[in-house]
Amino acid sequence: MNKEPLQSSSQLIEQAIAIAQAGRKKKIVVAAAQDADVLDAVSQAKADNYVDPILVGDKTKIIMLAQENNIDITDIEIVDKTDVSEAAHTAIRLAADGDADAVMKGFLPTSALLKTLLDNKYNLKGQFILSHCAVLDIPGYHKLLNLTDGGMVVQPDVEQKKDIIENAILVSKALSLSPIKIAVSAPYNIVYDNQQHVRDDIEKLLPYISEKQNDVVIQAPIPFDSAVSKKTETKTYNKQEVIGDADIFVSNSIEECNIIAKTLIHFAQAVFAGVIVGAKVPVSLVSRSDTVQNKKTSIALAVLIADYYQQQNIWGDR
Amino acid sequence: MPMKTFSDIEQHLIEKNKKYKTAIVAPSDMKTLRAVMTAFHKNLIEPIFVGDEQLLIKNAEEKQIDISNIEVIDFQEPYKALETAGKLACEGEIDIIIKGRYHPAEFVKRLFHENCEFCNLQNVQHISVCMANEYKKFLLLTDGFIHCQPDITVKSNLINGTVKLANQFGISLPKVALLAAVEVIYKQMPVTVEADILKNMYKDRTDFCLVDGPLSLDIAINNQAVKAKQFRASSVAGDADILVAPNIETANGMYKVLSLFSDSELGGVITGAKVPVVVPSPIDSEQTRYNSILLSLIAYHLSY
Repeated sequence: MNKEPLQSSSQLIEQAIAIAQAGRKKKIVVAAAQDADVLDAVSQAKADNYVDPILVGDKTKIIMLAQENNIDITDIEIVDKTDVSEAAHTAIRLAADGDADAVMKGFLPTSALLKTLLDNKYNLKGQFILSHCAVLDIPGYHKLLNLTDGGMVVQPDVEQKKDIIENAILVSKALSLSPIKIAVSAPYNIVYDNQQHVRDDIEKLLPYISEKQNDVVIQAPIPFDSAVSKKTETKTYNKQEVIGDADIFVSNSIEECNIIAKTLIHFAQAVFAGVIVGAKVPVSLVSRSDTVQNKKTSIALAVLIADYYQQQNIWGDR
Repeated sequence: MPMKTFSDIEQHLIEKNKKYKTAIVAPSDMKTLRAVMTAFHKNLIEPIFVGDEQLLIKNAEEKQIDISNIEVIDFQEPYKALETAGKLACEGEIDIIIKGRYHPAEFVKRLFHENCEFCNLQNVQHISVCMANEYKKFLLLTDGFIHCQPDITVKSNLINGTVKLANQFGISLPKVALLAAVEVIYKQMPVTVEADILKNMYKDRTDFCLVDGPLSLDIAINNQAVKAKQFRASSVAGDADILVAPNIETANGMYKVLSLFSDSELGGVITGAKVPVVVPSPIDSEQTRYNSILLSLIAYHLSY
């Protein structure tokens, strides 16, 4: 198996294919699969041979949508559940029983799916809170950038940031990154008295992560440009490892991360893969405005994370 | 005539035939110096260098930049140079301040603070102006530099100040998007609640600007996303002129993305103080620095 660090969106898909070819092809279960965009994405991922989808949802609608949009869903298993809540529970049950390796959100609110995912009876809760990772392939940046959290935690405090970072590190490990370089965001590269959250990052967050993790370099406060470019005034920093070479950028608010990611997608042609991590199975999310490439990459990312969890036995026996 | 490009702005200023007195603080930054000299040669500004004269002469000679016949006020320490520039601005002796070789955040913290003669901090803001291939019109973005956690009063000032700058370009009724991660109002997301309050504050001021929010970035500027998500009727969605970011990191990060990874033409200016101030980011190209000077000359005519 390839243990080189994965550095582009196409490498994510190639690696997902390699995993399938090695006999570990993953199953992704779609909750409420009556959604044309999602059907299109899983159909293409199946055609590329890196995932076997299971569609849970309104079978009549699913077939109708596939026909209307010329999406090939032959040979894809469909579990007929017209009720959305029932579809969510059935999908999560499949994941809990090990009959699916990853979950994908279909035509239902994210919150409804995640509530089901965290239902105690499924025993899919992980060690940390759930958080969102946006893995971006940015033309002009020499590696993938994981922006977190732009989808789950609104205004993370230090404790939540610890979990967000632990989750992001797992994703980086699934991409075979070593060492893992983490930048924690701030507007300036120097600390001012009135910025309590920046001081918390430095005094509480950095030591915690550095002590716990071997293969990780973490720095704060780092404005976005210093995380991804060496053109900034780097003499401000004692250590230079993360400057211009970050794998993970940890933001202070959902807005910061979400809007920076969308700026990269809209103005810099970045390819984007979104996934929710923190549970024992990854959850792939795609949105209406995602391109086909984004959707396929999101699924590949979920496959890589699921495979990493299983190979490393991260969660023990589920 | 509306100004639709940075060249239009330049042309407008050339025709105006006014030389703005411009203090360059700690001028030994060569990219900034080149941009300043371009503006000087086009008769747009009358520069005054405030800073270490020897260092300036040495650096300028090395890079073969001719600075003869330009006034220099000699200060070894950058902070003293900055203090002097601020004082000259308060006395009405200069029209524009430009940062040279000075740590950007330090410069800003020293020049703009509560209860100073130079500014009322509540009115001060950084505005970036972007001309992107993907958008085809000026997009104004605020505030990525001054207010760390702007409250509603400050945000309202941010809107007003940016609208006034947009007016100077000839955008008579700017469309203002209050950015958030989502378009729905959730109690758990204070930014969305705040955006809703702000939007309502402006609903009777439709002769001044059109405000909508909370809007996600794609809904604010991408018509395809507006259609795909079947977004409700909005006069702003998909066609915003002004983006008001929820916090400093967001606007700052957006600007950095545009500067590092897009082909956009950019500029930026700090408005709302006694005089407009240009604080180039270290990643800014010479052209961006020149565009920022152009913006500061336009911003000079704003009143606060």
